[in-house]
Amino acid sequence: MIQEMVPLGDSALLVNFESQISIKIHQQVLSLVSEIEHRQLVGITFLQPAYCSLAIGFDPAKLSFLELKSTVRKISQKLISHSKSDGRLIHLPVCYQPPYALDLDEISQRTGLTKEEIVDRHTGISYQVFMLGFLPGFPYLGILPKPLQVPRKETPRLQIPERSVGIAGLQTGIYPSSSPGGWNILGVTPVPVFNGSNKNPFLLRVGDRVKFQAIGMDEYKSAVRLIAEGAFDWDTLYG
Amino acid sequence: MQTTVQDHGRMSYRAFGVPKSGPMDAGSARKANLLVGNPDFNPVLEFTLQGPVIELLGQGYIAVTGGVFDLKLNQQSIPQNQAIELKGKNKLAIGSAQLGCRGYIAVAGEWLLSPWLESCSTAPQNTAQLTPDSLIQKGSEISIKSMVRDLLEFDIPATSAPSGVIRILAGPEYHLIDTDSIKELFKTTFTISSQSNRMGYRLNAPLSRYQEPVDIISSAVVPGTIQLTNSGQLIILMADAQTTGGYPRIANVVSADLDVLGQMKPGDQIRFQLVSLKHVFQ
Repeated sequence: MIQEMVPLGDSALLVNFESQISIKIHQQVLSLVSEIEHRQLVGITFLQPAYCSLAIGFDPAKLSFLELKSTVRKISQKLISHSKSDGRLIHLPVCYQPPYALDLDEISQRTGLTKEEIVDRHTGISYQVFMLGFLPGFPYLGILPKPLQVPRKETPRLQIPERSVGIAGLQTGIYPSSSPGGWNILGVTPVPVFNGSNKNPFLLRVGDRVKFQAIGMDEYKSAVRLIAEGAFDWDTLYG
Repeated sequence: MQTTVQDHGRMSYRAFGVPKSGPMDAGSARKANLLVGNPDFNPVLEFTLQGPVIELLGQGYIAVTGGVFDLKLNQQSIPQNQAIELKGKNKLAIGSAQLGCRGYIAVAGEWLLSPWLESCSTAPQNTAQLTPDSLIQKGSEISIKSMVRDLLEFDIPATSAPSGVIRILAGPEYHLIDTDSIKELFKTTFTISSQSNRMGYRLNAPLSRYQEPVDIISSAVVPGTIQLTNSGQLIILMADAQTTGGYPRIANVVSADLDVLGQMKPGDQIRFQLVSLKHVFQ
């Protein structure tokens, strides 16, 4: 439940839940988000959920910090926790082969797992989209199985190719566009998680669940081509 | 040097990791628009340290606000902070900043730009793909459907040198930071480093007494959030900053003083003053 509510500047309220990365706590965050959205409160400028916190932006001309705080307190007293089935489940194909699997060898050495075992572990469970941040559309997914939990790279790469799938700490994520970055790269998905020219540019939203599926090089290349030609069957992601 | 298009920005897309953008000195951008009869957050051109040279074709009103810049219209000096009527072909040349850092050009009417996520602000990343119309470089053109509404008569106080005292509210992790570092935060005069831009300002020198870094789970940040990195470096997040962060949020700059910071440049000095929410809304 809510631990504290503090200002994040003069036009946002930060609601902190129990400080831990867990599905249970994140479901409480999501419940609060949907309750606030449902009530369409006047003066709210944004809702930004993270692992165990929710930032609520407000327009001080329409709503005061104290009014908002007391409204959130009232709402939180009758929260019904989100169940796991509320988010969508999205199946994302990933090619875990060279030249895309930039750090698979290194992760294999560091964890003592074979490359096949790493892929099996990474594709073995579904992950929760805890938050989007860093870059437009960058999903922070978790919780990574313990044997795969390794720190970020000591020296970040200057350029990680778009759609690369990486791991860092408890998290796995997908680079929506090419950028510098410090996550360990296991492979690449042919599916863009961010497409700036779409009306809705974001494939994922907070609360969705993602399951990775290993594909071979031929399948990867064919999916990239189909997506570029507009002939990709997007329904396969939600199957 | 850098010139961008800025309007109200993309605050409502923070849950998707999209930076807010918008003017670094929102008050000055708004004044420029009000002077020419535009809505408050109509697009404006924001220029930094050195203004652009622009050929203006057609009839309409313009106004330039913000820091103090040398303004020449067809090689004649013109005043800042007032609406100027133009007809035919004119050349506006803006020199370097004499005071402040950023200036704003408003032009009366509807700017014919394609928005991305409801805003024409120049996207900080992938600009050519996301906001090609708002990518301002040599040779760029913008079409504006000139429209003149009733111009309001009002006085704008002349720009004065910023005092350098920035008011801050305690941030979510303020109370987790050791008292020696907090004392240092308020005793030190910080210098805005050369590694400063629309995403954030890095401050020199780092807090020397910050020895035991506070670890937090990644969470929301907003423009004005002051992050404290593990090496004691303070970073003030500005308009184009990313939306989440894993460093402790020691403080947040009050909105009005974020505009003051928007007019500061590398080498400028600041001190912090702690205020309460009650004080901000008095």
